[in-house]
Amino acid sequence: MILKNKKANKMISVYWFAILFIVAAAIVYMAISFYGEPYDIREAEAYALTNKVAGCLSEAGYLKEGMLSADFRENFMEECKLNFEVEDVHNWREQEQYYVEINFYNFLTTEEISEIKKGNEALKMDCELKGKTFPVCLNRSFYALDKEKKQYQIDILSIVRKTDKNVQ
Amino acid sequence: MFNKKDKKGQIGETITWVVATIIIIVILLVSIFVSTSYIGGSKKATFSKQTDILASKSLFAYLLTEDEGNTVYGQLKEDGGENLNEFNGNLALKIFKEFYKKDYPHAIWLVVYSKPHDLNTNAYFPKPPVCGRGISEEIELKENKYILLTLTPTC
Repeated sequence: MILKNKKANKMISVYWFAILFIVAAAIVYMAISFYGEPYDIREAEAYALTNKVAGCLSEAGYLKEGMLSADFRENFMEECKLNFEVEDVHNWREQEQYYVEINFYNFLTTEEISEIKKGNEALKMDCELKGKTFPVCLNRSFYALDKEKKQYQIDILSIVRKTDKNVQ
Repeated sequence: MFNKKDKKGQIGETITWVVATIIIIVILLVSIFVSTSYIGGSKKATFSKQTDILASKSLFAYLLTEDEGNTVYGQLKEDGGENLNEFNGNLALKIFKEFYKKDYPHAIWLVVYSKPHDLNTNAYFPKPPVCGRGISEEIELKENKYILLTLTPTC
């Protein structure tokens, strides 16, 4: 009788260790799966880029002077103080991670007046595709006037790739 | 007699442990499922928008737009300009509804009003948002008279 009781106690101890191990493993797995996943900040980055570009193009409702000139198109990155350089990981230096496209339209006739394209244009093709592993595309518009009170619609397309760091 | 009772007790205790084990495993599986699929899938860093820079720029440009030598700002500032007229009403619709409908599907509302409580609805933006979770841009036209743009993504 005492022998049987000892055996039963041993069994319960083994059982307790097994349960303890399962619970600990589950907690570790949950922590890894939650904290192991990176935060996806690409949408916030695309918004910041769009706002920066809009701020560079217009001020208090008016387009800044010379926005539609060829000279501004050429020196857009310097004029707007933008820098698309990225850290040298995941081959990012070989494939640019950003793209910005700005289209100026006549607001009344919707005729395109000018466009500016900077960055990796190949990313634009992935905008049609849905999924976490594709670049984040943000297409926004605003209304502006020039000093002669001409009306413009300005579309800004901002694309951020950086999938390797933001999505697992 | 004593042995039978002992056996029954042992069976009862075993059943208790089996049920307890099943409950523990179910709780763990549910927790794992929640942490991996629900929380893990939504680790998107979103910033709470207090202002929309592009909509704000559009509103400024809208107020500066001229019609027959007078700006929209001037038209709304005048007495009797509580409601939008055909020119500035249609222009507002074209700018705000067309450009921002995608970002703010719940409500886009532009209204001229006098403080404290004289909110006039207009034919162009008849429906005020039903909840207060949105971005508001308010510009003073003259003393106690304002234009308010409200953009609401969801309720």
